[in-house]
Amino acid sequence: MLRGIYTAAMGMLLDMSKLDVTANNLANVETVAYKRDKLAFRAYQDRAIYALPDRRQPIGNLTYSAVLDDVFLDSSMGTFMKTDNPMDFAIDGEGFFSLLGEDGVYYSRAGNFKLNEEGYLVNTDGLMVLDENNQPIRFESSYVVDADGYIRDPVGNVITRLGIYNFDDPGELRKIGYTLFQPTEESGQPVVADEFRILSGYVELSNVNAIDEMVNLIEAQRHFEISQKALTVSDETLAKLISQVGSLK
Amino acid sequence: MMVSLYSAATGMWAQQYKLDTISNNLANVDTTGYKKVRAEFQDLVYQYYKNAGTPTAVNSTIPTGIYFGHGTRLSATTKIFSLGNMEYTGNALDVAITGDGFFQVQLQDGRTAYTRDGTFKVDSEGRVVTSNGLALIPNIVVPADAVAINISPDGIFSAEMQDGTVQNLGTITLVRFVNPSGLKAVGDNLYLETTASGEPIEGTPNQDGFGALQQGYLEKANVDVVKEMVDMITAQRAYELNARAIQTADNMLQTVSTLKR
Repeated sequence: MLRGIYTAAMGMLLDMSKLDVTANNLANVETVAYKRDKLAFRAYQDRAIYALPDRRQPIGNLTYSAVLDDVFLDSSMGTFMKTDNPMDFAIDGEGFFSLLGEDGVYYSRAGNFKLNEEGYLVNTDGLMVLDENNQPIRFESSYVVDADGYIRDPVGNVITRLGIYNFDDPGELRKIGYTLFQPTEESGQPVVADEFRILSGYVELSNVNAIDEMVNLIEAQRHFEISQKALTVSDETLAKLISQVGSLK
Repeated sequence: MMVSLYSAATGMWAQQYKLDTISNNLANVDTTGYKKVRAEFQDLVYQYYKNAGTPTAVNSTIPTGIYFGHGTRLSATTKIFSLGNMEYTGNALDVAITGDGFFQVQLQDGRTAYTRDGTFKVDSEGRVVTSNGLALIPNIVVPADAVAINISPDGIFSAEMQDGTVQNLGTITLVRFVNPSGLKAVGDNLYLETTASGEPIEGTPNQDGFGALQQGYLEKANVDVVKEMVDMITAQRAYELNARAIQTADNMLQTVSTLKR
């Protein structure tokens, strides 16, 4: 059949993927410390073409279609919002909070923490926040958290320090929802972060840029319509071929 | 069908909840002792079509994966227990807590509720009660011939009698919780203890980290009108953005449906 029909259809499928990713970013435009997803496409099945089948004179390459190659996260910082809540922390700079999960340590930049009934510092889902020795953090009285992540009692004695870790390539962390991340082979193993400042009483907002996402939406929709046009034209050409050229009179 | 339709719908749904909390905060902008509520969101599950690190051939793996998120969800509505503004009323029975702590009051069914609303009154029997007639714990009874009431910063409740003597009527104690955000708000400015809040810890005002009492003042709501308005604007715009994503998904599906005429 006509190759154009399939090439156009592949293009349309990509636009749908693009819309899926954009819609998820937009849905999380107000999610604390959400990191937006980005897409990469790649040409597929490049083939050398020739002038004539028997005279092997090359003309150049023809791309048959495009495929979705990669979805990765944009680990850039979101903006900070002052909240007046001493239980809110934001990391200005590199690094992730470490949280005790059911099957290992999770990492997150969402610092909207709470205290549970036993006085442990937990995230919204009740996962315990870990200190630099991978121990849960418990408060027995009031406390102060300084810019370096040291937790001090009101007198100024250091109780412990928040466990803040960084990765070689944070863009390759695996998202597991609930604004939590897991390290992957590509992201590298966690290393203690040093280029950061803890802001107490602030939260990091989502790094979704509404303008970029709107542009992506429009682009996906228009590209989809154009691809559809290409598909329809291919189809009409085929129809003409069948009804006029190939018809028996 | 397309994931985006549903992701965007969760976004609109989340913003509706955000607007609900903002509206309630704004409605309570003049409520004594009201603590604002903040809606918090988290991303939903991710669907992995292709995992990073999957081997493709000998000595070769896929460097990056393909995944799609499925929107957002409301993860918590957190009460923010920052201090509200103190307003001078001049009324001897108005008390504000200038710091940590809650007053304890007795509900009709005998349970103890907690409040930061210090608009106390004296009922027909002389008992100190809240605006709703709930008795303060510990019970304090004001004699009928008292001419003036004095409440000290550390909770000592005394009355000046007609004959000029001063009578000590009792001490107001406060309670605090390890996790006040875990308290259950039940309306009428009252909170109830939950397993999440922890047990109440009783203490004397102006000691052990409890706030001092301030007679003649009331604590206003800690709602910041400007911030709520800004939040309302961002909620509306986020709602529109998500509606736009649904519209785009719909348009693309419509385009599909016109492929075959």
